[in-house]
Amino acid sequence: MRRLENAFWFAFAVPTLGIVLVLFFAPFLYSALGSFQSKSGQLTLDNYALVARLYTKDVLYTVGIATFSLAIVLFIGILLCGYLRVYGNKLVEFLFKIPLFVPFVVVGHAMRVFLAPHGILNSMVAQIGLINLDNPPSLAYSWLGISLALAWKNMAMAVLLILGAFRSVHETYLEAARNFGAGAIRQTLDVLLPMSASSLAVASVLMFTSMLASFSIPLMIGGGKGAQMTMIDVYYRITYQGDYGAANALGVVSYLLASGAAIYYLRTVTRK
Amino acid sequence: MKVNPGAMGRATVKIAFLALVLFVIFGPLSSLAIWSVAEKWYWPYALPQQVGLFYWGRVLGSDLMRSLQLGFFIATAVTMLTLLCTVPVGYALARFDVLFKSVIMMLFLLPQAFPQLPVFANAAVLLYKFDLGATIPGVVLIHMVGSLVYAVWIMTAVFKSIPVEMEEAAINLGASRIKTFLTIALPLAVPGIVASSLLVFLYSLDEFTGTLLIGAPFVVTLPVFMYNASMGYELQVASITALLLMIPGMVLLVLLERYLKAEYLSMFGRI
Amino acid sequence: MGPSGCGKTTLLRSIAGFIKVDSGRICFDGRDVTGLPPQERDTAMVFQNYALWPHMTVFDNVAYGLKLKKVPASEVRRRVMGALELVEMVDILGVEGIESRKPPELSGGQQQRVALARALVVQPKVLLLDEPLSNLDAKVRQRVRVEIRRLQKRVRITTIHVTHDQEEALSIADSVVVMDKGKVIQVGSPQEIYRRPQSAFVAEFLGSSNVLTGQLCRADQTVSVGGIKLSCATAAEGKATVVFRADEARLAGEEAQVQGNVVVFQGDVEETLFVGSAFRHFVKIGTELVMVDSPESSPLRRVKVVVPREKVQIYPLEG
Repeated sequence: MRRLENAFWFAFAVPTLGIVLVLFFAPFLYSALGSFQSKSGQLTLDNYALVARLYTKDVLYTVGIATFSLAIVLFIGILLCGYLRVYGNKLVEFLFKIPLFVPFVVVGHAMRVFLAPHGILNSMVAQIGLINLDNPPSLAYSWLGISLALAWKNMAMAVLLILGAFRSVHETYLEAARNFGAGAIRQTLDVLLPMSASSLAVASVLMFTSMLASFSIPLMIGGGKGAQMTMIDVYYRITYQGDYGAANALGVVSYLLASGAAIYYLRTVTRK
Repeated sequence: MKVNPGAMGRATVKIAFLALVLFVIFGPLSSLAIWSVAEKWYWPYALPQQVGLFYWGRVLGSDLMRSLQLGFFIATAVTMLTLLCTVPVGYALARFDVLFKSVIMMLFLLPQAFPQLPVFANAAVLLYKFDLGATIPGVVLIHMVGSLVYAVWIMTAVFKSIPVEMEEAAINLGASRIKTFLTIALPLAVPGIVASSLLVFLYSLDEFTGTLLIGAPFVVTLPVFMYNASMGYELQVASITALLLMIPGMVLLVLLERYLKAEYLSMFGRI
Repeated sequence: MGPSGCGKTTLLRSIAGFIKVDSGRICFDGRDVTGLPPQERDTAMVFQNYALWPHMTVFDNVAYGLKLKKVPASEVRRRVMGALELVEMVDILGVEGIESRKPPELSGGQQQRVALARALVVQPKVLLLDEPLSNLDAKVRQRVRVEIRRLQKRVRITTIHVTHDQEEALSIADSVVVMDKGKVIQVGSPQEIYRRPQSAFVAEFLGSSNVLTGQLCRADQTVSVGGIKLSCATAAEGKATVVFRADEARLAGEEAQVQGNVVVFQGDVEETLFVGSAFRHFVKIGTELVMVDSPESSPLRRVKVVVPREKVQIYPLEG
């Protein structure tokens, strides 16, 4: 009887589950299997050999950008959230939520025109005479441009996550430190940061994997030459060469890089 | 009144800090606004030589309006279908020992962990096999993959936050399961359902990766339209589109600002 | 001392400097500290939840204030151990335990001591305790109360101890300040406060008190309450509260002759409860219910409630 009732409720999940299974998990498995197949359908490791030969540098490049971007986000995020937690500033807090709801493609395009060789940023800096516009440095179309754009977009999420963690630290822990003369920075580094270390670690893993998987921002702001982020490689491999085997092998590499986040999500389920 | 030099210094630092924040947030966005009204702009000029609304007029009479309508149509369909699918699932997962409960939870969580692009590329192959490639239903379905996994979790959380005693009181008075759901749980869940529908709507409106892979070249929503314009160096057209694309998000930000919690926003941290 | 929400913790946090005051001044020993930040006031606070940092060892918790003051490492060590010795934690944890254990591993009473040590180690001029015993269970609380009093006498630091527990306040304070709704109601020694509460609120807050409503009459200088008239000097007309303690009243038979300067009410015993130290009789006098404690349960039904006149307090109601 009880089993019957459980099965009854399960029935509600079937259509929803169906869509996710057919359009996410089936393609997911298909891409994993496809990575071991040649064009004629035989089992092979050639795709991985190709990936290792052509894309090792790109994978490292991707990890590098995500790491650098995460470092920017954490550095600014922790200091900013420490300030917001200790002193409070509603306006600044609101301003930092804005990037959250700016679509990725818009961020890509905005950064493209903002950071371009003759873009707004360079024009402004040139006005104060720091650079020469005849030979301008370009942030767009480079790893630095991608990192800055990713950091800008992720800053909103970081502020939400870090500030949430900082807010869950009870006020008295801060007052106890303030009692001895700890300023905002000391309170942040000595009390807030260590007391929310585990939430921050989780936030970092999630932001890191989402940066590894970023597609539209590097698509719009990345350079046409040199190293590319892996998602761009996957996209080009499919649209320009129709080579699903290699693209899927690269996809599997990206799944593996995302396994940190996957483990976290699995844990949340098993904990409940 | 004597001015305290320490307080003056602090005020200066505060204003400088606020100016920096404003620059960091609005600097990149300001370039969109400037480009949208730049009728003539060649370097080395720091600002456009000629400013006007010429491109706005041209853009608003172009394909953009079709993309806009299409985007709203798709987002409406995605939102309604997502609600229809996830409200019952969320309620069941929140209240009952559903068969294979932890497996189901896991299946709805894992998609959030993995990169979407390689999966969607293979899903596109599948959709083309069913003749759904480059069609509106195909794009709706691919948007739903993203919105379903998100909405199931939100709905479950929304229903879990309603004390079970409220429903037990109704059952105790003789209400049936269905009646209890319709008269107690559902009305109490309305604020949560509305908030998450708005987020799903925005997600679909802004979705780029799946639409590019499945919709192109016939189903062009606003983000894809903007991407094409930007890559074709039609910077004015792209900037105007980008500004239009930002409006729904900004409206939602003001509406939902107080309710924004990190766990409800996983969908917007991606791709 | 005061009921929750009366503003006692706010006052304490203002003294510590966590809250900026809108008006008025805060002085220690004549020194105006109103505008000073917390660390320059020479105060140290022990929080209700102790607020021991869970990620630092016991040693690091206590040493934190000294490290911020850039005290040399060897002296830090000496003073930290000294402070922990003072609260008798060195014997309990051992030197090794102090350097390795973290607050969440300690019991509530031990955390309390560490929190005290963290406050004492900076040698404050004023020690601020915010309900320090409220998170301990009843048995431990009794013991720690005595220890805090002993410690305070030994270190001779002015201590402000906030509590809502009247027994705690009366038993360890040299001077008690009663607060209500953000105002100081009465200041005095514990004996004064207990014996001569100066308002119905204080009397009621000290517990086991009966509060009756009476009517003042200026013409014949009396107050009518519970069907009798008491003489009382009054310059006002209107309502007054009449207060006496349950343990200072006694019961007598309906027909009994009562002598001396006493107040006598007629009433019916409605209920008798055993409350441990005594039997508490609930007596209906007119429309009011009063409590009378006595060591033996009274079998009587119609009774006289007898209270010495000097134990009956009368407070005119304002407004």
